[in-house]
Amino acid sequence: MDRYAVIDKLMEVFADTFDDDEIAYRDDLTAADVAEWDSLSNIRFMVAVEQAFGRKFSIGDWQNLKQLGDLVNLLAV
Amino acid sequence: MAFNSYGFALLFLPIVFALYRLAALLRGPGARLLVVIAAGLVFYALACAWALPVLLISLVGNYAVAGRIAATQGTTQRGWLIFGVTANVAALVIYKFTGFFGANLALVMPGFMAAGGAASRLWRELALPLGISFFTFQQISLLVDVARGLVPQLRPLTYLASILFFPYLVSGPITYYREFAPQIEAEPRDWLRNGITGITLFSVGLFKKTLLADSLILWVDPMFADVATGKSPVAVQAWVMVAGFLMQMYFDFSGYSDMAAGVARLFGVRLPLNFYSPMRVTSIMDWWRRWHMSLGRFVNDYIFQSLALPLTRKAVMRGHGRWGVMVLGVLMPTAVSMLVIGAWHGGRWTYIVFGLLHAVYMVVAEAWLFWRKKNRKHKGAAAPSRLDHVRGHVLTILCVLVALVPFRAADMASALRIWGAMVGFNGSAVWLPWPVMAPVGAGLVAVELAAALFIVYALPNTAQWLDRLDPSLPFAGGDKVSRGPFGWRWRAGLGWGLLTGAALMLGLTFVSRGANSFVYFSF
Repeated sequence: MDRYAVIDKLMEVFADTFDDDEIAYRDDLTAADVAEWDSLSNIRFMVAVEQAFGRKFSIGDWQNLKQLGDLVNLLAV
Repeated sequence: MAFNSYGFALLFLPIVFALYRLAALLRGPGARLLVVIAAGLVFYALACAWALPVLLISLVGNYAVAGRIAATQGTTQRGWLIFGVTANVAALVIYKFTGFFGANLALVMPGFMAAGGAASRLWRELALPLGISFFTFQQISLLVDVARGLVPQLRPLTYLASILFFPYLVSGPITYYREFAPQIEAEPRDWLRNGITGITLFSVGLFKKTLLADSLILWVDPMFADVATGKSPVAVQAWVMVAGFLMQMYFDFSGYSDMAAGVARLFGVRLPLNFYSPMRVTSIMDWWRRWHMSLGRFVNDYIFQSLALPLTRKAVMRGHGRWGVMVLGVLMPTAVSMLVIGAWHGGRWTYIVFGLLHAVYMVVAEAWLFWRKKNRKHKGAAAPSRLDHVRGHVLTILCVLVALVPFRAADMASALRIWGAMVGFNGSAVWLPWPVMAPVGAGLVAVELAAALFIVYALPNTAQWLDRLDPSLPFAGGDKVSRGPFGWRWRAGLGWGLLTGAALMLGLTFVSRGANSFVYFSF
């Protein structure tokens, strides 16, 4: 899947999980930038992403991500 | 050996520091690590020599298992991980719960547990190896991190140093290998800055411990001891003793944590925070993010997440609604995490009840927040107001105080007597006749409590005050916490230098007053 398609699809999941259509994609977006992004919505986000992309990641994979761009890289593989 | 003893502050620490510097100058990283390892072993042997074999078995065993986890993959790796974590948990349970199980077995099956019999000898209270709760959790975090691929390389000397690092060996903060290793392996620089930060943190911590905590304990301890003998306090006394204990434990444990961070910094290592103004929170979730943070973080990283991710997947796959996902993926793992925190403190019903209460608090608070968020979206209600925050704060602190009663009480019967008094069962009038009040006096109690409350509500916390010196590893939520009305910030100069020196001298002077043990040394 190409990077732009991944970002499009990811931001749909993102807007749905955090109830925020306003946030634009940035490679260096982190939980600190999104008010609704806490440890609980994070778990929901992880599972929603896995569902949308039909992939399954380990907690180690998730913990290695430092910013949203890292997730895009992981999904684009 | 406690940090707040002359032997540690004036002998052990200076000698180890001098050796460490010498090793850094003359030999390099291997020698530095050897100094840290030797210092840890001597420190432990001086404090709890009989348990040294337990510590050594934990070191060798976990290193071997970590090696197997790193070298294998798939189900074999999973098998080694499960074996390693189970062995660590089993060691904790055996040391902390054998006596507890025995006592409860004796209640259920008095015949089987007859005094002097084989069963009662087997299920007796075991002496607790110092620090086992802390270093065992560090070992578990290492094993899981190796399996999660977060530890690229495990070098034996660094591993030994990471567990035996004496600033946190016996009482935390629970520091992850992946945080410690890069710092201790790096070539030490900034000796001056590290020295200033270390000594300042140590002085503040010593002051909190020997002046503040050890003053409060003078009347808090006798009050709880009196209740343990069967006496019942009146309402005001009950509230005062529980609030006093909260302040005492805060200054004791945050003082210890500051001292640990200070000592670690002398060796160039920054530790994770343990406290960040926990008394100024507005929700119970916030409380657990800012009280004994390294324990809360451990439970979140290794218990909550390990449960929440698979359970949420299951709930989503089975098509449970939003509430179904919430209950299975959030509320259940939260409750389990809180129960583990309670039981981690030891095998006593009082700790189990403490964990149970916090499990209820957290589940209710999470569910309430979830329900309100959903409602707010549908009805377009306003965001939380200032009054909401005040309400949240008062309710949180009340809940914390209520749960603190069994945490401190000698047994559940004492806890029930204190709770009864708090809701006014014993009347509210008689204050002075209570015998233990006589040597201190209600006036002094009031002044001390007021001073303690002023410090925790109005002054910046240690990490805020010293932010120019990077006193700890980063804490993501720190920016949102106010510095209080004064907003003091440390800067290099005569003023803060003199104040730090005064705190250190006073702290050292008051060491001789006794009450040498830290609250968290017994866990």
